Amino acid sequence: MSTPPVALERVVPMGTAEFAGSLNLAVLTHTFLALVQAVGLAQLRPIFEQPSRNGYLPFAPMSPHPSVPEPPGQPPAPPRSPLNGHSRRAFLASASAGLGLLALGTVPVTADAAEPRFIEDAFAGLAAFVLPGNDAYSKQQKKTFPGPGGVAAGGGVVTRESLDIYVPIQVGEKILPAPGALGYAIILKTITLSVDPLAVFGPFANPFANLTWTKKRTVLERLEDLPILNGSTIGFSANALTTIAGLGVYSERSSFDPRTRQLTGRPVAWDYSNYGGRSDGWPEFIGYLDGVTEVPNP
Amino acid sequence: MRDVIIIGCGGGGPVMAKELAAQGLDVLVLEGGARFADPENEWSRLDNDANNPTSGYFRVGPSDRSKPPYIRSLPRPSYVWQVAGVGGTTLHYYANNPRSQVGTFLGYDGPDKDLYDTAHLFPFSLEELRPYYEWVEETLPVRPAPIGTKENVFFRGAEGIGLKVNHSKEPRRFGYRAQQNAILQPGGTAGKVKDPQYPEAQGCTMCGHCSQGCSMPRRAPRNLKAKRSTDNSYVPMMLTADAWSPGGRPAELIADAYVQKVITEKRNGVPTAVGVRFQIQPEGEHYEERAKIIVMAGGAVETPRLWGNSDLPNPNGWVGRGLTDHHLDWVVGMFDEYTGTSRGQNSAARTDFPGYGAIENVGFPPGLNAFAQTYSDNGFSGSKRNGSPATLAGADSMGRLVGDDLRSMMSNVDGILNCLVIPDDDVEWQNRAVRQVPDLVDTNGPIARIDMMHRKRSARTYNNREFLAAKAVQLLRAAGAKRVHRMDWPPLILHSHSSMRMGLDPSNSICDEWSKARAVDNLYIADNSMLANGAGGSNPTLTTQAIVTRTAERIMTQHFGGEPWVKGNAPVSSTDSRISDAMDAIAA
Ligand SMILES: Cc1cc2nc3c(=O)[nH]c(=O)nc-3n(C[C@H](O)[C@H](O)[C@H](O)COP(=O)(O)OP(=O)(O)OC[C@H]3O[C@@H](n4cnc5c(N)ncnc54)[C@H](O)[C@@H]3O)c2cc1C
Repeated sequence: MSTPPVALERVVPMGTAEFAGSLNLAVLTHTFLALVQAVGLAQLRPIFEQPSRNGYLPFAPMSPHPSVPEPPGQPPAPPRSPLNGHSRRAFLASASAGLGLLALGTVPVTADAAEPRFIEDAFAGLAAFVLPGNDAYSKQQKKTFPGPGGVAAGGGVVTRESLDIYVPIQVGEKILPAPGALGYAIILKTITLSVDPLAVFGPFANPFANLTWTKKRTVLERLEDLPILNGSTIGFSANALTTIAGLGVYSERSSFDPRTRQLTGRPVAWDYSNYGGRSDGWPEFIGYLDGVTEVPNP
Repeated sequence: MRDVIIIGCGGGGPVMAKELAAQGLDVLVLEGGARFADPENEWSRLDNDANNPTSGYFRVGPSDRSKPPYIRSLPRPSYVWQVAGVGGTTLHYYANNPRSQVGTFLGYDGPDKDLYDTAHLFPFSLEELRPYYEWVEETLPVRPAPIGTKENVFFRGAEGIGLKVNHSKEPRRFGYRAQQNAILQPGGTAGKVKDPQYPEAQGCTMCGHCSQGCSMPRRAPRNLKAKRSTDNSYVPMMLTADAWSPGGRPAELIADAYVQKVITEKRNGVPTAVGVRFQIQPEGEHYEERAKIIVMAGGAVETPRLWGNSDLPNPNGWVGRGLTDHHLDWVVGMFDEYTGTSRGQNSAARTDFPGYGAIENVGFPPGLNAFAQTYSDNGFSGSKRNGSPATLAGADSMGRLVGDDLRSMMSNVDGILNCLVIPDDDVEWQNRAVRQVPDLVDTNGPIARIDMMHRKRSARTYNNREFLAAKAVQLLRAAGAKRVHRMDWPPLILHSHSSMRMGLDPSNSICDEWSKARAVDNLYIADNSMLANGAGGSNPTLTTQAIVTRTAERIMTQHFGGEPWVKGNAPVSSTDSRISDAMDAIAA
């Protein structure tokens, strides 16, 4: 039933297909351009203004989304950079690494972004923030709980996977790994350095994971407030990070095999939420309100 | 050349297809998402595997889950909760089927008539739509929901704030009731055991997984699965129309077929729809197919996008404008007793506040509860507020729950009770779903863009939300909650309507009172986008399906020389055994 019958008339593509390869690049480019603008790194602009290999200009400026106006009765907030002088340099290094990956697909990743744990640590740090537990990330943030928390539940993994599929990078035929999560790992790092430059020193490869719980909250508040992300196709996901992590830390992911899509055991989140688990049914049927099983038409 | 091509197989499209296939027309249905032909095996019913917005099996994207979802430009913060696939967003829905509030119709003259969005009424009376409501209610069928623990706790709260029970399908005063819903009532062992199987169990097994797709009871034929999402009701009917309707002809369905353009020609100087272009997703062949009548049913976001991408006319500027979303909010209470929130039907109890909207009880597995509790326009609970105009409304706290607060609220998923606040919101020009301009393009053309002025809604919309949030807080306290928390959600657009609205006034509507596009001949709209308003805060699907039924009759009589069939007749139920047998034959 899902293959078109021969009776249908096949036609030549209308020209949208050639956009396919450049779409995701364009979307991710928006993210970075937004940040670049936020910190005034105009020198990176020319990279974006190159036509892509497919001949499609990846950056098309959008008119801003007006959906988050200033609260009534208050003067507009002055423009604010999340970054101080020191971290601008850090951002430049990270952003260049990200951009190299994105635009060329071949450039080796520099410094910290190349650390295998740079991305994992960012999102494990987020999962520990959303639901502290007895893991190393929770200890580092100085907010723990005597038992498994969001990290053990796979909250970081869920967030990373969600971002990767939402913002994969496809350049021509090539698909590059982990770029959506990489983009956000860089963004989290960049804002972290504006909150606490000393966070580069710590056990974790992404400075975000080295912060205290309260400072992590400040980083996420700044991310939510970054006006420059208004009008970008990923603006909404910056605000959704905590929410996706929220789904993750109470999900089945700790005991889910993505290849078979089967459970391998009882997820830890089901224990700490006292969930009865997935079931085909429950003896929950009590009856009908006032015994009414059918309501007459007026 | 077909008689009719229907674009989209969600809440509205299959209703049109079923009605016209039953009349013997040659109907082609094109759906951009997955087929979901084997739900018992395809749907794990796990929180993240099902409901992850980017990678879950219920998302807006092609059926190949290794591919990214379809990308939209969304307001910030926001989330649009829809599903692409056969069944559309009804795969997710809770099958609550209230009629639109009485004051949303032309000619309503009750004492509270000024409480409604009087500038954007339905262009016909409630009396006119009633026979179509009754037809859909019998087809699905719609009945009062069964009651479990969480409904009892909710009703206790409703009584506690002075509300009285009111079973009426058309409530005209404040009150509470079991939802009128389209979930087959439990029979046999259903609702009594943990491992029910058809035929010993029939209807709802109270498994608590409405949001993850209904494939229960196990072994039941597709049209006897409990929840009447269209994949279980109207789709089986449209595919087997010859089996249950004399002279009927089965509709043809193609999944993963994304329509990229409605083709028009000028006839007598008027743009006239003559066909569609579509592509098999994500990177398959392109096809063109022609028909006498084209029906757009891609939902309130994709229909205006497709309109724009097809370069159809927009003479009054209202294409995509006037989007309503019920300005939803969420209030949660923590109890010392068992509430059963993860079990039973996801939403089986409601209170109605005609002129203001409604509050319904919603239950989920833990992942979706945590999703709801970490989503706020009000910053992190206990930290700085984000500038939102929402008030506490009597709650103890407000904002995203994280850390110790989240752990404490979620320490017992069956010890919380949720209230979904559903205000009656105004049609406003500023709120819209349109084709992205300037263009950001995916494989199907320029993407959709949504603008929702969340913090600048009309005074009536804002006040309705504050009024209902306060009622929800009071209800939870009266039910015995020890702590009550308000979320103040950003736009969570899961009821989306009126972006291609019908109306009497050609200066602010896209469709006439028959859901026909004013500016294009032979083109009709059959999804939530054609609703004239937000249905007064009633869950929209029943009203859409009733209007689509009325439009189907109109198409048959105006374009194919048929006779009307609804008034004075009774429909075949979607549970009819002829449909089960014919579906078995298709599967074999
Ligand atoms: C969690 C949740 C709970 C809900 N609960 C309720 C409830 O209890 N009661 C209620 O009334 N409503 C409920 N709703 C809303 C309900 O699901 C919608 O009202 C209904 O599905 C809308 O129907 P529609 O036809 O407008 O759009 P959809 O159901 O979204 O269907 C549109 C279909 O068209 C397809 N499509 C779009 N564009 C194209 C194209 N160009 N080519 C091909 N195909 C295309 C899409 O893939 C989709 O399958 C709920 C929604 C959610 C998310």
